[in-house]
Amino acid sequence: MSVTEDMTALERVLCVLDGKIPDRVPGFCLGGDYDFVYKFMNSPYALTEDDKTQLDKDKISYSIPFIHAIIAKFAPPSILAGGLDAKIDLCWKTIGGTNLLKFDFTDEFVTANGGLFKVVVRDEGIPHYWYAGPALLQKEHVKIYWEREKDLAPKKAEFKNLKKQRTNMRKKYDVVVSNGISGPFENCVFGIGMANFARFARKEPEFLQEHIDFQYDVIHEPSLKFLMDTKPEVVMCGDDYGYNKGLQINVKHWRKFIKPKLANYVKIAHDGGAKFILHSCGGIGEIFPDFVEIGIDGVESLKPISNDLAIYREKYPEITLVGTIDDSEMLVHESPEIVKKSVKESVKVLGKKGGYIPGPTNFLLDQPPENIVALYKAIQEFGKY
Amino acid sequence: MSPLLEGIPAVFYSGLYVLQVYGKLEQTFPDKRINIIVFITDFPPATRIKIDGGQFEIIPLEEIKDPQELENLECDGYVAAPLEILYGGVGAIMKGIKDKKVKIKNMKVLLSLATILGGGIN
Repeated sequence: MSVTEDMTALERVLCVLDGKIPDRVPGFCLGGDYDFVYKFMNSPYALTEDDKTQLDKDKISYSIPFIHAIIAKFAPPSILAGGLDAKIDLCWKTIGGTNLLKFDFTDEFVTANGGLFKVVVRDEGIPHYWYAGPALLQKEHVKIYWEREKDLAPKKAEFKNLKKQRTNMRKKYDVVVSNGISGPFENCVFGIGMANFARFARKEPEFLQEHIDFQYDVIHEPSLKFLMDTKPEVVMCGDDYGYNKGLQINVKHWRKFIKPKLANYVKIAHDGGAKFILHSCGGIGEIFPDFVEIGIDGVESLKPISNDLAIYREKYPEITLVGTIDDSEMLVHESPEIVKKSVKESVKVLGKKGGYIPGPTNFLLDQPPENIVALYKAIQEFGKY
Repeated sequence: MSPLLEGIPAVFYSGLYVLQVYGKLEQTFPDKRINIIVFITDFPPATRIKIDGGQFEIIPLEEIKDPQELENLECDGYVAAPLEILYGGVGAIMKGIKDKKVKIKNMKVLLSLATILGGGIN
């Protein structure tokens, strides 16, 4: 049975990000990798020929890992005849990172952030895209990278389809697409590596600052400006600061080198009239006060094993918690009934005063599709205030 | 366990896999038959791409070391160029042909590959 909706997905999502209580708890999906698409398309929930005919007519994107076509499949039958009636309200699409470069100091592909990029097809026939390590291992490499300014600069044409894709998803399937780019930490560390980041931060902070400034001026700021020209309602940028038990880098270094750039991201989004959500994996509780200070509206991922979510809810009511449903253990190994119970409990603890948009904590990968359907059905069932 | 494919052959594989996993290669291009070779000269090996009746096959051609060798291979079309030129779009490719940095046979069939890779997934 379809739930009667009193708000559109956009109204609902903006209402939560504004700190108010909407008609029901909205659901979120970051996207899904090749493995998940394979599993989904070989499950009873797979897109049918009729679904694809309508999705094609509505010009919905099938691209991986953002899987808008699969997200649209969760719509109620009133929107898509074969819909799963477990509507998702918010999803994601990033831009950039696919521009591959050739440098003389490596035989591998190098991405715009200076990281090595690998595409692999294993025996089961499913492709995988991997970050394979930093390419800019020496200061000389970084300086050669700086000389490629023209190749690294974003191209406006890459941003031209975003508005159309967002509008189609919102108007035809009532799903909000957040758009973004990757953040200043990831872009720096993917290029130079963690060891160099730590070494430069202690011994050559001016050089590290110069590199971070270079990437911001040449890649990030112009990308954000192109993005804001498309007038997104919600900007979500990815920058993984945590590992399972805390921050990957010294908090003093995060505050000195990364926080000012992240604050610029937030300001550019807000100046353009958009809300700002940060996707950041791992245990990031130590910098939640900083997120409040720079005006971040929502933080996404928040794996429960790495984050004390009840404390965040209590101490930082300004920030909407997005994600929080463990993608790598519970959604992979437990039954749909356990998934439903877990969602019910999460909504009760984290969503009773608003400020909560549940969804899997990362891209879908090896989860059984029935658990994902159970997750979004549970949000509908238990997400009423 | 060594991978089945990596590098440029894996990039082409992943592009066609998206269409196949959604059933769109068969749905959108049921009668398409092409057999072409793409050689990104600074990222070997050359890659043979075969599409036939909604199925595809990617074959790395490790033995090809020079674009001239493509002339001896049976195929509907080929292109050999550095990554920078292929990424630069039609303008850069046309200039590359003029400057003899791009070796190409049957532009039409290569464009049909581009249509397939870009088509159907929006």
